[in-house]
Amino acid sequence: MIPAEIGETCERIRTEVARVLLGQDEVVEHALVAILAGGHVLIEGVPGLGKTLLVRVLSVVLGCSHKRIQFTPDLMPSDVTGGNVFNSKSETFEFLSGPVFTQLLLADEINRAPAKTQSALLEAMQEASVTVDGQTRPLPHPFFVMATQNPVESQGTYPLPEAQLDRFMLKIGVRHPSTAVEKQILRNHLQGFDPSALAHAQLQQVVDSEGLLAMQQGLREVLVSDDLLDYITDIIGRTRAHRAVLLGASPRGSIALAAASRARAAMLGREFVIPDDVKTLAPAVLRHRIILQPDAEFEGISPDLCVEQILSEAQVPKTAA
Amino acid sequence: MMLLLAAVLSQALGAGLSLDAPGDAAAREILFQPEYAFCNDGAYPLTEAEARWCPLVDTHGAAHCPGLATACQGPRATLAGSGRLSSRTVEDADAGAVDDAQAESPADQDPEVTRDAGGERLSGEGPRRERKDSAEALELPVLGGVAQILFWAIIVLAAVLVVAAVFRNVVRDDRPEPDDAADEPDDATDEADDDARAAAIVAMETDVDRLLALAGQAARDGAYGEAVDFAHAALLRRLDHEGLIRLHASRTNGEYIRELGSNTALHQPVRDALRRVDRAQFGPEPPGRTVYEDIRGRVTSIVKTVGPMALLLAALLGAGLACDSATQPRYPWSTSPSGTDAVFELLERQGLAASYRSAPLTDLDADEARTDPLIVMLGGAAATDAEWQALQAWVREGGQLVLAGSELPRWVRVTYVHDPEPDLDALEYEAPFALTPSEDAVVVRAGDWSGPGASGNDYITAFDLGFGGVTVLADDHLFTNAALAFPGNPEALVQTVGSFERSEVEFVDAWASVGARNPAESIAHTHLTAAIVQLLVLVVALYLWRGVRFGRGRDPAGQSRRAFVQHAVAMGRQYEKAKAATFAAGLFSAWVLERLRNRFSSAASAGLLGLAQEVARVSGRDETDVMRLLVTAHGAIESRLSPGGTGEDLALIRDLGRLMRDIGETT
Repeated sequence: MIPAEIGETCERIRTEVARVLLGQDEVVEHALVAILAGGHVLIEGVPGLGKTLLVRVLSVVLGCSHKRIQFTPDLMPSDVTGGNVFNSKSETFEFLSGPVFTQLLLADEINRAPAKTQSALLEAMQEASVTVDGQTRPLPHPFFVMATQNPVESQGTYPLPEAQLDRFMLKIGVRHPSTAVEKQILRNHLQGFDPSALAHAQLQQVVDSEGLLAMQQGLREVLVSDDLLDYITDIIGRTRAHRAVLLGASPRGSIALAAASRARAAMLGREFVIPDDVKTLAPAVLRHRIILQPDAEFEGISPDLCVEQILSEAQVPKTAA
Repeated sequence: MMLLLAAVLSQALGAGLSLDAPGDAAAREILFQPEYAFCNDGAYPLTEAEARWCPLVDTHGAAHCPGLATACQGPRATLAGSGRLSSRTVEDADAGAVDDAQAESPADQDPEVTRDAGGERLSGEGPRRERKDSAEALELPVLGGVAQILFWAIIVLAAVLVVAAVFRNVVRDDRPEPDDAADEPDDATDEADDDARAAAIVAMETDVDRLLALAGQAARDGAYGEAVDFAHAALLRRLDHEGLIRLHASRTNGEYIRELGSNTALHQPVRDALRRVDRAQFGPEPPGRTVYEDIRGRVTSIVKTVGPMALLLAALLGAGLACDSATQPRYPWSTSPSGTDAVFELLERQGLAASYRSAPLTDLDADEARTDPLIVMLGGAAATDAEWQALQAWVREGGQLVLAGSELPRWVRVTYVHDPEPDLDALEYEAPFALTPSEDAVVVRAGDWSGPGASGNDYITAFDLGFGGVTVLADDHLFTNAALAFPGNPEALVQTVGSFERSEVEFVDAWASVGARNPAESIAHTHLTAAIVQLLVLVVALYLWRGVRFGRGRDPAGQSRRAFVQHAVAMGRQYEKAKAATFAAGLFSAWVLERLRNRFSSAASAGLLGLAQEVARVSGRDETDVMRLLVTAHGAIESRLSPGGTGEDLALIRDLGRLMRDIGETT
């Protein structure tokens, strides 16, 4: 699939999603970027902003299966991946697949599960496979994880380790909708919209799994010039040299930024990446890959602030200034 | 004429005191509008001249102007200047002096200035009233001999400096541009550095015309990629110069487009152009001639559009500021008691067009005198001999002239008389709209055309001259806003002016014929034509000699903040001159090591080696080089108190400065 077709398809997807999910255009765009680039998304936002609805709508529009896991402190790794269960009739162990065996997975409040359970997702997210009792089972393609965490409540939570965070291509902050959007949401509900009954919304499937994979393949046609590679590495390098940063972004961050930029270019129907793609996506790609100095955190400096400062200092290629 | 006027006045007075008369009803409606503050604001400050209406408030009552009675009890304003542009200052006991741009009516001017000491001056006798300049003359203080020499020396010196600056700008083509890098001659010695610097200067070109010229040159050389870059830079520079975007090296084309989002005229064309630039710069195909010419055409059209649009914007902004009510005085003259806005509006409501005359009276055409507007000359009006002659000829051919307290020409055989014992009853009958006659009232003596007054001294008189007529009033108080406050006056005004059977009224005051009809005439009035022509000739000569610019086109000097290391180097130079550069190097080294230890606190515990490892990791430098530099810096601290200093000390400061830059530290 060529970028122009990808762009046209993505536009139809966004239009279809916007029929049901209002006021979350940025989240939808970033989710599509991650899906196209084969990455995963970590969403930081309070409950009730339509995260589950987004996954369900995307699964309908993209023609993919979806499942949801509510992470809790007593959730076990086997509750995520599945496990071998003894069948007394056949007197054999049979593999009972867990909810991770799906195409779109919503890991709700992922930071409420202990590190052991969180790590169960590591292999799934990186290798797109699950190993149980020494046997590796591939996950369906495409495989996309959308995890959420609540930024407000900190008691009884287990912060995601850096290795886990690095697996997420993008981290998105979800804000409350504007008053006008919220009014429209209310109006829709009063007119009978039921988020639990999407069939009534008559959503159209825009693409199927095969089509989605073809779109992912099509990203290879998108050109990233040497100047832009320099720009990306410059930005990543600056995260490591910033005085408020204890640990900057890894090479995986560079790869993620380039891949996400490619996906955005294709979504806009372009067969080449421009600096605006990189700069637009850099905050979402980098904010969770930066570890701040303790004193910087104490001074109230946030990763977003660091990234913003870095982007305001990094010279854009072919600049006229 | 006389009989007609008397009949009109009798009729007006008969209905005058009735508030139901059309003129009175209209005046009451007008004066109740909020802009007439003296009728609606009890704190309105009257001038002493305006306060002379106050006795009439007690005797007749200002039924159309309820606030005037309160204003009569309030503070008094003092005036500076004269005419419509004079200003008033209010002495406020609580808030100090408050200035309001407000002018005094010509009627408020001291009548003594136009009359002789005895209070009587026959027309055509004695000195004529001169046209007064409204602007106060600039008066230089009386200077002593030395002060005068100093004064002229400063002026001459300033002129010489200006000429020298222009001359230096003209001949500076051969001189290199000042460059901060000149502070570091050791960095710019070899040829490669010169080439790099030349490339950097081209890259940093900011002049739009030169950028387009560079684009054209690159295109002629076949370097279409560079040509697109220059055209791109020209577009962004023009937008930046006009304040439409904020150009910065870290900003993308997408951000510039979003910044132009509110500019509907430019957003779309700029977006189209920048999208093509993006494709040319980052797309799969290198740009060719077609792509370049397409971009060039779009950029050129935008660049040519932005300037006029910015000018239009500035003009609109200027117009908006000019119309800003905040810049208007709190009490404008036109709506003050001395003003004439209410009179104009009253006349216009009666179907009469009223305006101030700006053209000279010599422009009056005697052939059209029967249809020309009624001319009313107010108290401040002054005319030249030629204008009086023109007026006389105009009246003889059918023009109607009212002289309301203005100077009187010879051919009007009427005089103003300072009457110490006026016939108050007659004047009260004849001039109910004017001030209550006092013992020293000024009246009109009609001479051969004596009017109906018992004493021969009247407030108003009229006579025919040729086919036209002249009416003389003792003053112009009837034509002020304050006069309309009293019952009867509005109707009397309307009927008096209406009796002349003209549809237009032109008032003549001190500002008539002062204005210029075109810019050339305005310049001629200032007697600067010769000087301006000489300047234009000079400009043309410079243009023919040097082209569009008188000097070499140069970029504006960029505002740069010197880094701390540059201050340290400069200080080191001073110490070097004093044979103590080692001391500066030691201090700077101590500062650098302290900064590094604070930043890499965990590594600093392992000594200089740990620090060097961490610095090398962050900066990407060779660890051995970093270690050598840190050891040198440490040694400089140890030996800072040793006398002397060499170039190595300055080199150490520069090396440490570069190291700090490499790890992102601000120096």
